[in-house]
Amino acid sequence: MLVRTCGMVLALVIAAATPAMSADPEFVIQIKNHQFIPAELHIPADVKVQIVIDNQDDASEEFESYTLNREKHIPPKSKITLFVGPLTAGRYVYQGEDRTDGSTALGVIEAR
Amino acid sequence: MTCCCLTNFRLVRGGGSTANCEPRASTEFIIGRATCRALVGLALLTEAEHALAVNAADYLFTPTITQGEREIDLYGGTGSSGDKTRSESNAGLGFGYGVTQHWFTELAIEYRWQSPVGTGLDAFEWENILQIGEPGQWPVDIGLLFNVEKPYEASRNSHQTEGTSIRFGPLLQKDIGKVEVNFNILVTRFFQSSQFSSTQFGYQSQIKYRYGRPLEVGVQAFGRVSSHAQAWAPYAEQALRVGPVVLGRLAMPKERSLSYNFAFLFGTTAHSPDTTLRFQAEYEF
Repeated sequence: MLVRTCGMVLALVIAAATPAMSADPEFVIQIKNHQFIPAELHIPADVKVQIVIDNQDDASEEFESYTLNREKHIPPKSKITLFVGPLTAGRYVYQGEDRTDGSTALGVIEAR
Repeated sequence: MTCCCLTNFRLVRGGGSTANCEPRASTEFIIGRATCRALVGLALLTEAEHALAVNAADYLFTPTITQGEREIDLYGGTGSSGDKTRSESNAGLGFGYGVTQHWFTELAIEYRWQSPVGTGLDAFEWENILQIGEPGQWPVDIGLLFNVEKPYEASRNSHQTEGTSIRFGPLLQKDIGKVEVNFNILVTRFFQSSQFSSTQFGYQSQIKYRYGRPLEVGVQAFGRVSSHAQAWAPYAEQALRVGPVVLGRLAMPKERSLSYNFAFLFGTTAHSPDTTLRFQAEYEF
């Protein structure tokens, strides 16, 4: 019973992973000096996209957006990939980590 | 990272049942040692039949992880008695950490209050969630749960009615606009337990509307399809609790936050508590 259950779980994971083979449009956001570059990213509406976030700083950063329902930690000098959408046309705000000097990096993803 | 349990259930521990069963000579009535053992066994068996408890502190596991996030997790609940359940309250306190982008782990201790057994440390739990892929990468976000639970009584004496258990299963989540849907299938495997079916199945589900970060509303359900004797029992012998939930996350200075969720659940079967009030608060830093 246990083996059968584990097999079912594994099959479920594999089945769910299969659609990942399709390529989604890719966009890049860089982090330099605690700023998102570009600060405003334009992506197509109604299409799922992947966004690579390249943190070039020596400090960790965060990508957090309630409207996109995403929260990711980005270690120093590293990249992560986010998947968002398909989004209806509109502007989606996100922000970085609160810094000790009180500043917070802000950015916008506009779907159109 | 939010993490709740499959409808978690155990047998009530029959603590002092043997205390008054030493053989005692009497001119009118003599209970031999063998008779005493038989009576104790019968009492425990009867108790077990009716004491398949439902953990009032169950909470919903979610498959998304934030690396580096630490959290102090306080959860609890109180369930009223039902047709075939006793009133019971449970609480737990844990410390969790997002070790990597894909692995969250938490250690917790759990307490239980149940009449007439009393109050006491109930179990130690080690919870692990693996996030498979990235949120949004696939049509459904997937995680895997792997928990180990060691009952406190098992550490103390040989009279435990259950042993260590593992709980595992897929955690599924889907965003549909502002609506987030969760469904988890959880399997619990008991070791050293001769009292009930060693493999138990359950599920938990939530549908919530993401109205705003500080306040979200939804419906939660915690179910157990296994009974005392059967891995897949008839519906009437299953446990199912359903009810409204209020959730939210309050931002605090210096990247800290307090996440909460409260639910009021109604039992739908005779083997469910009539009502359960449960809560979870996570201080994230």
